[in-house]
Amino acid sequence: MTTLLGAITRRRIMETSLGLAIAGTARAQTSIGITPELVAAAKREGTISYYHNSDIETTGKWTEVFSKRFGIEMRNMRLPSYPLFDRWLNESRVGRHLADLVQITDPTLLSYANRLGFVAEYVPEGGAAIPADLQERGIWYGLFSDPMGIAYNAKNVTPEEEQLLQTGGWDVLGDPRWKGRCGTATPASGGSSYAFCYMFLVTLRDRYGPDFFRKFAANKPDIYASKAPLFERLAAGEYALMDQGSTGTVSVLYQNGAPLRWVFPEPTPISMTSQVICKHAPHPNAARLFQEWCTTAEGQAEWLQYNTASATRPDVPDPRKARRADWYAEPWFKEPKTLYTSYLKDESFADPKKPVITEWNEIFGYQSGRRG
Amino acid sequence: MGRFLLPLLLGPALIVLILVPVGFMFLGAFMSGALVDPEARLTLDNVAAVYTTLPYLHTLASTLVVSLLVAALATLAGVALAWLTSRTDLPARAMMEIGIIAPLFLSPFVGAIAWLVLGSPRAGMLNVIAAEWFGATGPVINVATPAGIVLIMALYYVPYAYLTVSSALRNMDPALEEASYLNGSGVLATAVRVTLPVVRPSLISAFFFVFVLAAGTFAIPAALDRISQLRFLAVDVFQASATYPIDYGTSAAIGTLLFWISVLGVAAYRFASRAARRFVTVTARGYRIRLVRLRGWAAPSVALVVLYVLLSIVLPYLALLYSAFARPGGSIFSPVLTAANATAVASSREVAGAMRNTLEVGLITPTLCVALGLIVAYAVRRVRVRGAGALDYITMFSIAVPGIVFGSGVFWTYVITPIYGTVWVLVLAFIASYLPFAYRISDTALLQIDRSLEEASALCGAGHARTLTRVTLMLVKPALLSAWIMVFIFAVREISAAVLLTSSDNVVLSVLSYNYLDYGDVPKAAVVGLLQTLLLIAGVLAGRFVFRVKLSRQV
Repeated sequence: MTTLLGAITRRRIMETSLGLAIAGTARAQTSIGITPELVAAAKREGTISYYHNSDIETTGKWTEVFSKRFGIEMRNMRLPSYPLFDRWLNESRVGRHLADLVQITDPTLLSYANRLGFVAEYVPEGGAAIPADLQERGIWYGLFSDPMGIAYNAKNVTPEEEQLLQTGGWDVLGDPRWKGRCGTATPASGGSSYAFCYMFLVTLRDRYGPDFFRKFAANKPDIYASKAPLFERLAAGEYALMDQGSTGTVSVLYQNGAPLRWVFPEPTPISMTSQVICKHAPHPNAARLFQEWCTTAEGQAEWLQYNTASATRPDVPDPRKARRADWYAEPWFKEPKTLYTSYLKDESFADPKKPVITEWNEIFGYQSGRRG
Repeated sequence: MGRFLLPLLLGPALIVLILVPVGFMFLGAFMSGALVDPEARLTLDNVAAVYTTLPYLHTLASTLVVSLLVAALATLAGVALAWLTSRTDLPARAMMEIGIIAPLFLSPFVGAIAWLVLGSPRAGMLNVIAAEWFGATGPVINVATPAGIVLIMALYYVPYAYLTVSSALRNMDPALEEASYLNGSGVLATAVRVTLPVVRPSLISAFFFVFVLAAGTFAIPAALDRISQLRFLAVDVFQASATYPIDYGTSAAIGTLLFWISVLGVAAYRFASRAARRFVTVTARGYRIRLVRLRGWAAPSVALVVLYVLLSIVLPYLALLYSAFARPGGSIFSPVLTAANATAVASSREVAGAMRNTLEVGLITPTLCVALGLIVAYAVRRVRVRGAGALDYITMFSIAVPGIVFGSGVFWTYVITPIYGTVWVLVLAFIASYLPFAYRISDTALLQIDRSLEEASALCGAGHARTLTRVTLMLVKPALLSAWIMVFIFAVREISAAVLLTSSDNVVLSVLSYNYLDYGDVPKAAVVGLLQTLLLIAGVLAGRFVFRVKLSRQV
């Protein structure tokens, strides 16, 4: 079975910075996998403090499996990516080392934290199975990816409009027929929104650029400070469509019965759930064991039991696809072909000033309550 | 000796609890980055930009206008409802009263989400019903507009105005109204020329109290605002500190601006409430209130109360129940019900932990907060310690600091201490935030007790300690229990500071519902919101039946 990311590795077009992936690994502590010694040392530590930004339920169930398997208690703390990252940074700066591992959806920030000396270098055995462009070897590892397309409410679009969405590419967002019928979220709301806007305004500026967003802005989308309530309102029928439609969220609403469908125009941006071990982790062996488990086929397959994002290991198939269940059985569903991942290694993406936000705000006439 | 020792003990404790976090906020406003960022330097840029440039001044103006409107509307409704329940023979008054203060049990954050489900222009349940039943062609209500935001905020602040004014109305000596009636004045003339002037200080204090609370609110405008139609300082504070690029300096600078607005509001509130509390009302002399007979006005009056209860409680809870138990995307007229969300929440380890933490915080915070509030009030009012004025000011200080601003100051205060990351950091933050309420209620209770009662005890031979425990404490006990319940409600609902101070060991229900919403899981957020309400109701019922406390009688 071909996984989504298996498809990427074969068809990747946007891998502009693959060469960067192997850099800086000389000092990384290489693992020999989940050894009895590591498990015993981890058990002696007994606990893991896990800072994450994923769904609470999914993470709770997933980490419980790990807990039962190895007898280590998981203490999870969830916050949105950016506040979570900043919290960890500030704690590290004053020497309050509470977190063992940090998981967020903007891996460039994890690279930045590594440059500040807050990341423990460690190469898990399973890391070799994760594509090189979805990791910074020894530093962060992409665990799950979530493609973003155009999500629409099937009850609010005509068959002709649905046909247009299926074939019209990203430019369809600028079609005046969506005026007053669409919503979007500011790129300041999180790593996935920023990556989405970054693709159009930076990486593919020549093809799309500000004009692309100007046309979309002319449709007067309602602008949400966070994507979450926008998904909910789309499902409720408030809008016909939204951009930044993350598969992980729309598919859960679909499973719950919402009349949502989604298309993946090319190239399709992904958000990448990535994870590091903290340099001063209070439970270093337990943290290494968890990083090992997360990068194994077993750990990633376990995640897919509870969540619809894709595993980064090509050898971990989506069980729904194998069964041709859920949206895989729908005639309107087509998998993304070309994934946009190059931003994961793009130095300017990591610019903490995030200049794309200012440009986007100007285009959409959005004031976010900050200078610049 | 107590006159010197008490301030020595209380002063430093209050300074650490309240002034140090606020000090960190002001320091942060003059930094170019986070306080501990080695690249951060001292700068005037943030403050200069926030205090002198148009976008912020525009936001300041809009915050002032919205807060004044909310205060005016909430006070108007609060006064009308308070008069109806305290001075008239309104049918089923006890039940009506519970309905009026019931919005206190709903976190404004969850309430705002409920109203988005109810009143968004196209898919809002009320608009769908209007189109289906009455053939409406466009939205009949749109909460995502400035007017919608003002109205929703006003709805949630009515109980605060109500509690302040109804207390004054109940404590008012009825002889004044009796005299008016004896002189031939009618109900309306008596209400306008006698009742209103007597409760005017309470009314003004209610107005400024709601103004301060409204100015510091971020949950409602943040959830309902679209396309920056309405700029609000508290939302800007949040956005600058929670979305990228995170800009602590600007966030803190906007926080200081918000602080000054609140200081002005609190000054006006204190001035008015001082006038309102000047009168001794708990005396050895009994009286009976003469109730105005509503006669033909009874039905419209009941309709007014029912309308308020419908808008502030019934509809939002219906929306929450719908979100929690109906499958999304179905028709609201024939929903397909599911218990999946409730089951998932009930079996979640995270929810069990959050419930435990919420209970801990909910029990410890009000107990310590009321004890501290009473000690300060006793020191200031009865012992008249040296520096009483300063103690009074510091204690009331945090009312001017919105939770969203205070939380980051608390973070910097405690981050290097062992209590950071535990439930105790939440307890300390909440005690500091809600101390003004506990203090004010204790102070008012002490002030209203006629000294002759304590003097009588002394004359009968009781010592100072015996008089304190057998007379004074007994008399203020109902007020203290009311304060306990009020702080309990605030502590269980609080979200702004809780999010900023959350850790893997102290997640509370409000943070959990915030996280569910942040991930787009409205149904589970609704279930947690309902769970939070059940906890609040259990606490208040315990107070009502076990301790025989009536919240509305003592505030």
